[in-house]
Amino acid sequence: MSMCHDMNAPILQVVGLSVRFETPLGLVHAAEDVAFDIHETETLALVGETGCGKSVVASAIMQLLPGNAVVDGKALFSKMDLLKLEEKEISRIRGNEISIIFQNPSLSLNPIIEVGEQIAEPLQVHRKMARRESHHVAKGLLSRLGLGERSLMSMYPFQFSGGMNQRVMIATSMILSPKIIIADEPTKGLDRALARDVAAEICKVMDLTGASLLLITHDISLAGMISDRIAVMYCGEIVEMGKCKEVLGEPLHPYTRALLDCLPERGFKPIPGASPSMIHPPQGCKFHPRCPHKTQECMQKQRIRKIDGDGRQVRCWQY
Amino acid sequence: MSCTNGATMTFSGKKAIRYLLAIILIFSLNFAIPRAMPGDPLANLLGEDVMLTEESIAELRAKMGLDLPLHHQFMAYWRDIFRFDLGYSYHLHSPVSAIILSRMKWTLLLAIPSLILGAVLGTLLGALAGWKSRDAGQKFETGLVLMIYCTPPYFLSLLSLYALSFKLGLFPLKGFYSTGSALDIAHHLMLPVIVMTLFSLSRNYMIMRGSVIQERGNLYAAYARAKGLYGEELLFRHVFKNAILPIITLLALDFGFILSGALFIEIVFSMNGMGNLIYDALLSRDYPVLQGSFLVITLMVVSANLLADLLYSRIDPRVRWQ
Repeated sequence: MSMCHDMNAPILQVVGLSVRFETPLGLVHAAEDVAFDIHETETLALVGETGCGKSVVASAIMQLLPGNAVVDGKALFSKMDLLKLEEKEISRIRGNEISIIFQNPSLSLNPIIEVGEQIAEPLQVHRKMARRESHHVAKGLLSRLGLGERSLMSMYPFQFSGGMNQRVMIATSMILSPKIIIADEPTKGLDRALARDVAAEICKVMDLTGASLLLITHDISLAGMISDRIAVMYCGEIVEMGKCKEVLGEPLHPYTRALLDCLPERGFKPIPGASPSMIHPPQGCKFHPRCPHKTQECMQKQRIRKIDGDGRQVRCWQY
Repeated sequence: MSCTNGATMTFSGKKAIRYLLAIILIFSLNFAIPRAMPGDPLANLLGEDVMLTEESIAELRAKMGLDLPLHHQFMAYWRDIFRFDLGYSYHLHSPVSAIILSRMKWTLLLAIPSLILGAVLGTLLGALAGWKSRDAGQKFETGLVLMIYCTPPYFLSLLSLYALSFKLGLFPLKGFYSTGSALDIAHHLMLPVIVMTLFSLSRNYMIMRGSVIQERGNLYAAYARAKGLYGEELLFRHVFKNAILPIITLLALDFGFILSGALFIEIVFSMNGMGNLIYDALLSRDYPVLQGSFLVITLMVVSANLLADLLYSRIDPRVRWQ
């Protein structure tokens, strides 16, 4: 979908990102030592099963986590560390240079504000554009996404279907032509056909704006369709990362292989065992209790390591 | 756009008809109650303590049509209501409608500024308090407002009357006026209006605060923040409109019971308004005055509810489309 990127300086650089939540039940280790780069016009997919911490990574970059979250690490974006910015400073970046598409469009839109106003709002907030003018821009954008009827602008989210609300959010996220768009489970809860529509729309947006995309999804085939690179997350850690074709064609980490075997076209093979607790994660490699190839070494912690010169990385003792 | 207006029209129309039916039903009950009560309907209509001779009783019975068949009485009752003839008070020796009109304007003069001030200030301050509920200054303010909220109205009225009027002599001790000039009336009204404003404010403040705290946790607020809204912009562009919905119901109650709501204040400050009128009528069993007040209050409550419904539907589109 997007062009092949050159390996110049990344537009977003996440280094050693860890997120913990203080809860009455204990410290939840939602993300540990997460590191990745995103380059211009590139699409990076962060895949993993529900609860593996991928949405937490997205929210952490935008400083949208609740107050009980403890965040360490860096997220470098145009010479700033996003994680260290004051609320006022990050608010100028949110929606303007980095925008996010939430996973529950119908609950994310304000129920009592017309959708046209909600799409146009970033223009008024960031560019101080007049209401009329901003609505005009919003209308143009909405019709490019296939919601061209004039009356739709003055309708409310509860009158829209989930898919239409998703398009409203996509329009909102791209209205200021941000450098990065984060899509947090954009197809969750949508049926297969609708999910494909949304994926196509996201691709269209990427082509229109030239933005980079951080796609957070549990849907590995969706990631395969639209991303340049894939990072596979398990229990708060990235276990494997590399070019989309390589990771899906030649998976190295046992978890990636197991995840691919779950797909219907590969025979629906479930991963044995259950997802580990994030409060008391397994010692060493977090996947070892479920891994068919575990050895004595797996009880020790393994760092993510580069496999070849092409950015392929894996966190496993086998390599 | 035309589609929206059409929907609003039928919505308001339906609501208005429903409330009109409610008024007709309540007014009919008002007709039935004195006639269904045990004992002589005449006594029930005039008040128990009214002493009359046999001749005047017979004369009144004929004049009030109590010897006519019920449906004739019912028609006459409605005719009187449309003429705003609410009967005659034998305690106060005056037509009930004239009494109510003269008392009502004073109560409205006291209650309307208080309720408007209380609504505006309470909503705004409460919204800010909910928005910054972790801020130490806000916590102090909330504690203060909570104290007013919990104090019985008559107690705070007495306290302020004693301290500010009696000890310091800043305000007059009683009544609505002494000379009757505008300045004099304003001076008399100032302290009661302040006290009543504080109560209305504290109630709206607490509700609005809770409502904002609840609303700001919703996903749409998080998304608005993700769009780059900052601080109070987020509150007033997104959260406020959603949070104010419960306040509208409260305002309808306040304005509906505006005539009786000022009762404690009127008693403590010895003001001859509607509250005192109803209270005295209750003590002396002056039924015509009670019934007349009852009808006026009914009208106020029903129209305040209708207004709240319309306002609610203006703010929340989900109401007018379902």
